[in-house]
Amino acid sequence: MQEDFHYYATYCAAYIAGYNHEDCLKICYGAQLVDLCSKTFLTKIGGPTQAATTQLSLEMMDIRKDVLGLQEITRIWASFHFLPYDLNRTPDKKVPKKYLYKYRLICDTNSDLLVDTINLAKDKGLEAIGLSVHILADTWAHRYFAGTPSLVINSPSGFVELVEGKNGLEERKLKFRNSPFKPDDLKKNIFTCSMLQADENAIMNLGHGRAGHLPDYGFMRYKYMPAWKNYEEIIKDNPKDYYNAFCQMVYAFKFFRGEIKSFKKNTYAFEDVEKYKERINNILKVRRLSMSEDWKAFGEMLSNEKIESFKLFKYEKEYVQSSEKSNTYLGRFILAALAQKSMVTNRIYKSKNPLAGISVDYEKNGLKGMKEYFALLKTIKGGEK
Amino acid sequence: MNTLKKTFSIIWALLVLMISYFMITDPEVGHVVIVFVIGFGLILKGIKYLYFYFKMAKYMVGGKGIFYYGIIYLNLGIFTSTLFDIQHIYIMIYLLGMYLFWGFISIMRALEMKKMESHWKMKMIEGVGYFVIAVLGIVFINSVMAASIIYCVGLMYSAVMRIIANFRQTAIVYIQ
Repeated sequence: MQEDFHYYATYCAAYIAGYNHEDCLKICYGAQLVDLCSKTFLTKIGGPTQAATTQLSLEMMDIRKDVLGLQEITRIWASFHFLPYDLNRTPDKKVPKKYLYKYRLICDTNSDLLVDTINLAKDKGLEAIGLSVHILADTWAHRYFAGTPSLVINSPSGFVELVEGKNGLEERKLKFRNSPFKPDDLKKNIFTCSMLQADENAIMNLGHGRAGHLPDYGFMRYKYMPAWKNYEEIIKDNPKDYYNAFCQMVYAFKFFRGEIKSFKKNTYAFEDVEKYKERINNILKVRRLSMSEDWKAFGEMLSNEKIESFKLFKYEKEYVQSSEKSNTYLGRFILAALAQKSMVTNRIYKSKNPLAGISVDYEKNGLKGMKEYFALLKTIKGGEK
Repeated sequence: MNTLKKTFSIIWALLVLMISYFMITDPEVGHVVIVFVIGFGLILKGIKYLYFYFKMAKYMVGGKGIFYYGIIYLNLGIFTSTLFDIQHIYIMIYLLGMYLFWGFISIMRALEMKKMESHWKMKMIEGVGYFVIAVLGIVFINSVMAASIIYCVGLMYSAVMRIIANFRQTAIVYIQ
């Protein structure tokens, strides 16, 4: 998903759930920031680099590809963009452990980890809410891919687009190219994807890189053969998935607002969204690289307010100049990011999967591990040692 | 990483540092070692691909390609390691290509950091450093000594980075 959904559609969902215009702006800013809060950004503002929720492409090229480097990549991408569905799942046939570790990081919707993510963000501020709904939305867009570099999981093949024709859905050829500087060409149906690299841990094999931006377009319907499903095809219906994501976001917002007691899997606010269904589906159907303008217009129609465009450095000054950083917008976002990464890493580590690295339980082992997490400790435990 | 893995990693890095030092002090032997390391590296890569195929890739759609990669690398490695009298100019070209690539990546990264007004100078110095090594390599392309030094500088840098990485705190703290 891109800015159109993470920023503008999130604004719309929050407004439908009952938040006011100002709160909606704060929530959708947090949701979009997840895609931009890189080490480079955090270094600039003087924040803890462990709070990075994404990696710029050159940051990934630059990172050491040893065990520690791969663990860092996995922590970021599995925690914020490819939330694992089931950390104990096993494929139909017996496979070696090395394969299993990767297989268990495949992302899908409505997981236990999603419930944990939403519960973690409850009562932690609008920034944490924005961060958590970004993760929720990405489970729909990024399902069937893993947030770790893996050839055996993330190298799909046989892509065919499914377009509405006279006789229902018709197949249309898709082409891929590896040029990172050329945008996708929707007229010629040519899409940019990462290069094929035969190394299992090559950075090109991270997430949906080999499928290009197909999962990020709301209009896209396609079928393909994932590398991990024993030659079974998958039909990915983005308009349907994106609509479900929107309705699940509204449901999550209602939980955050205290209108619902507990967040349950496979539950959606279909009734609340019903009267906007046609408009939303019309936005999702349009074949364009970005739907920001359409979502923005919808949001402005809902609130009757102007939605400002996303500016990365909007809250920078407040953070840099503050002596109490945890009371600033970026401070709260950073704490939410640290908490989310800490929680997901712990769940992966506890499932005896080493791919995200070691997680030290503070309750059992005290102050051990990366110092950057101590800021989180201070906030949660009120400074106790 | 657990303590055992860290210990092995440090021992390996120290070994690489020692070998690099001896290669610089005796460039003629160093030249033969470089050819051997490149050939042996390809053999290892071939074995790694075959291992990867049997451990993981045979469970993926289209995984058989990995098996063929393994066979090709293995053969290429065996062939390369027999070429002890290979002219060092080819080794230099290989090394220069490597340094130019890393120089390019580092400078691009520094420019990206500069664009975001982040701390970019160290990265730029690193990139320029790679380019300087590459330029020196072109100037001294006929020197066996230069080839050994350029190769060994890369090895030593990698070994030192490995040692530093092992002393970093890497565990994530989980707070309930």
